[in-house]
Formats: sequence, structure tokens, C-alpha cells
Amino acid sequence: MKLSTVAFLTLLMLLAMPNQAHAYLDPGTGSQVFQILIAVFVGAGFTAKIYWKKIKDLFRPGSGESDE
Amino acid sequence: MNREPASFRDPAGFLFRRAGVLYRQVNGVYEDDYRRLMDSGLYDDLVHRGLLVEHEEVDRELAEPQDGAMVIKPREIDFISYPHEWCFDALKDAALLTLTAQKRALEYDMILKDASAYNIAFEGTHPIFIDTLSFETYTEGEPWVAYRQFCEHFLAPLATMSLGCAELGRLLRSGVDGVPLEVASSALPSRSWLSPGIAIHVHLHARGGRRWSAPGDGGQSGGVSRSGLMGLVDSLESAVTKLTGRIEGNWSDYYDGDSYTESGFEHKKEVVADYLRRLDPGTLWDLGGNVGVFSRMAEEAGARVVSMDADPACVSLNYRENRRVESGVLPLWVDLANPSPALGWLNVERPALLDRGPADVAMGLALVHHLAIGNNVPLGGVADLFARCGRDAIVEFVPREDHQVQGMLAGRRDVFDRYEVEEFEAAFSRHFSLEERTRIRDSERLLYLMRRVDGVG
Repeated sequence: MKLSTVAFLTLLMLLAMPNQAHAYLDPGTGSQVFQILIAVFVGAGFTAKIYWKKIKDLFRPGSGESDE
Repeated sequence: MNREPASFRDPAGFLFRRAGVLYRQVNGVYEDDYRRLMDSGLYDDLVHRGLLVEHEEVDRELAEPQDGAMVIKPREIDFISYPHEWCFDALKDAALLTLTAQKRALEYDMILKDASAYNIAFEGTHPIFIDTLSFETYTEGEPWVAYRQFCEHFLAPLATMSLGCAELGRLLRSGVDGVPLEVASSALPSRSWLSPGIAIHVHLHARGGRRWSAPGDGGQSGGVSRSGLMGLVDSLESAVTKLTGRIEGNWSDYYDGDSYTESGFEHKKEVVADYLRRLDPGTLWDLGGNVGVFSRMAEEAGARVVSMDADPACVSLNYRENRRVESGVLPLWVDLANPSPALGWLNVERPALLDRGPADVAMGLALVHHLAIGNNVPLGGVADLFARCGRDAIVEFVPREDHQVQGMLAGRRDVFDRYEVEEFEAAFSRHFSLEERTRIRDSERLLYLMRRVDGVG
């Protein structure tokens, strides 16, 4: 993952303030903190997975993915 | 006007009935989100894929004018069942549907504001999203408010049923809000830590959730990016997909054993088919439906069928077979000696199973001896159950001479001197007229066609 992407994500994480005007559900404070923590890792993993699929498709065009 | 008892937590709107018809009031606070749902293309996308129940906008009087903006009329589902009645496979399909709905929503800049398993209803073996107002506008940077709820309603119970034992699914019935993470975490075997999805979203989530909760800790310094959110959804989807429902025991031999000869079994099928033709039910409950052979027969005869069995493996096999042959039968995990109780707020929020009937016909084949001998229920009580479940009935009586009953009586004291045909017929005659009785070829088993006698019981 590029350094600029990491920097961008970190900045976003620090600056973004959640606004749940309409959400009636209590998310659980602990769960929210936990989610913020793991999101960076699962997000990085997911982005890597997407790029890897794109690279694979370059070498094997037509092996399309099924989108639900 | 009656408000639906379970529809009260979300300020965006609620379900109500007027003259028996089901409507949903959309409140003013939700109007912008509703318009986005309809105009962005998300509604059409989901309905086209069969993922969301369709509705029409209707010109009806508001149920509660001070909050309301408009009324919509959703297509009503035949029979509402609950997560604590679903087999593993069904709950897993419901979980994957929720995540698919979430992924689709994000493509239209919307997101699920809740991830309750009660947002989903089953039509046969097809889950469908029934809470139209669950979709709200997505604001990048916001964490997913329903993350914990998804884990407690879906991932935690699925993990316990798959990695622990199937009976742990009963935990879903002790509440109306899934299985708490701490409970699932303590119930799961230690090898569940080897699965990264479970380790993170159940075990660590349970510990982190507890450690970092502080009352009055309102503002979070931080958020979740869109790619973080998509990663989270993808991670949950992997975790759910990897879980499998194990089928324990040997069920393929159930019908090949000593209960019937081949010709006897064919005869039974003929007789049941004949009784179904004569009763011609619109709805039928197959009590003790096992893997669903006769449930599917009833469905082919034109009934809308709910098939109930206490063995989770049977219900799963039933579910998978219905999927395979595209049968509309709804298989449920129900112990008839202890059916789903009324749950939730004022005990009306999620009604008891027996209050969601009766069906036109209650069919109980090779069931009575399990209740009368296996559960020590007097035959009068068994008859009462059938009368609660159906207007008419198709019932099989397995006499004490039968191999199966002898097996149940072996090794225990026989206190069942009242378990005889005469007592059986007397008990059921309190509610029904026994119109026909047929002995199954090559056995002593008896099949009855019973019609409700009005004003009795």
C-alpha cells in the first residue's frame, strides 16, 4: 500500500467525526472504538485484495467475478 | 388501527394494520432517506434481485399524523418466523443477505442503520428483507452503527451452532436481540480462536467492547473510511461463509429402516395423498416433518406448508432439499413439546408459535408416540396440540406393538397402559370427527383423516 494512501486514511480517521442523527440503534461505545481500530487493518486488507484481483484479471481476462 | 406490536423502536416509521391490511407509515424524519432509497435506484436494484420486499405508495390516512409523512403498503409475507426457529443454513442465508444488502446500499451511498435478524422473513427457503426503512444515507467517515448488532444476531449464533453444537442455537430464544458477544465467546470452543473472523468479530470484539465502554463517552475521535467499511463487510462475509452446518447422525436410513416395508411406505404415501386431496388445505403445518418428504407432498397438493421438527439436522436437510428441488415449504426448528414462547416487550413483541396459527390442516405422521411416550404427554394433551395447530388433521397412530414403540419402551418402566387405540380415538374425538381410518400395509400403523367438529374443544 502506498505511503500517501496510508497517510490519507490516517488523516481521514483522525478528522472524521461520526454523525448519527437518524440511527436509533445504540452501537455500543466499546464496539465503535473496536470497529475504528480494526477498520484500518481490514480496510487495507480489502484494498489489497481488490488490487490483487485486478492484477489477476489482467493476466486472465474473461475470468469474470460474479457480482451478487 | 392497530400498531404492529414489534414495530416501535425506529423513529423512521412503523407498521400498522387497518381493516386487516398491513401498511407502513413513513415519518417526516425519514422522508429524505426514503426519497434517496427510491430515486437513487437502490430500491429497484434490491427488488429486482428479490432481496427486498416490494411496496406501493398509497393514498391513505396517516396512523399517527403528528409524525407522519406518508403511507406505503408492503407486500405481506404469508407466515412470519423468527431467527430462533431457523436452522443453521437459514440463519446463514439471512446473514449473507444482510451483508449483500449492505454492499448494494453502499453503491448508492446508503447504508443499513440496523442489522437485526428480524429484518428478514422467509418465503419457503428464500430470505427476503422486509424492513424498507432500514436504509439511510451514508456519510463517509461514520463507523457502521449496526456492526455489533450484526455480530450478535448473526455471526455469534452461527459460530456457536457450527463450532460448538447445533443446540446452542437455542440461545437466540432467550432474548430478542441475538446472542450477546460475551455469551457466545464463553460458549465457543477454544479452537474457534483459530478462525480469524471469529477471533476478531466475536472474541476480541466481546473483550474490546467491554473494556472500552465508558458511560458518557459520547464523541469518538476517529472514524471509518469507505474502504475500511467495505473491508469490514468483506471480513464479516468471509467469516460467515466459512462456517458450515454439520449434519450429525445417519438420517438417510430413516425411511429405510424397520418402520415400513417398501410396499408399506408406498401405501402410506398413497393414503396421505388421498387425505390431502379430500381436505384440500390452503395452509398446512407438518408436525414432526423430519426431512420433509410429506411436507413437499402437501405442498405439491397445493398447500402453503410449514414443516416443523425438533432435530436441527433434519431441519437443515429439509431446507437443503427444498432449495434443491425449489419447493416452497418453510422448514422450522421447533420442539413441539416446548414450542417458541412469546418474547420481547410485554411478551407481545414476538408472538408464540401457537399464536401464529392455526393452519387449515395439522399433519402429524409418526409423531404421536414421540410426544406420548417420549415426552410423557397424555393422549388428551396431544389431541389438544393438534387442535391448536390445525382446523382439520391427518394423524398417524403407531401402536405399542410396533417395533419403534417397543424400542422406546425397552429399558424403562412401562407406565403407558393408557397408550392404546381406543384411548387415542377417544382423546381426538373430543375435537375431531374421525372420518377415515386406514391400516398401513405390512404394519399395524393407522392413518386417520380427521375433521374439526365445530363447537367442540
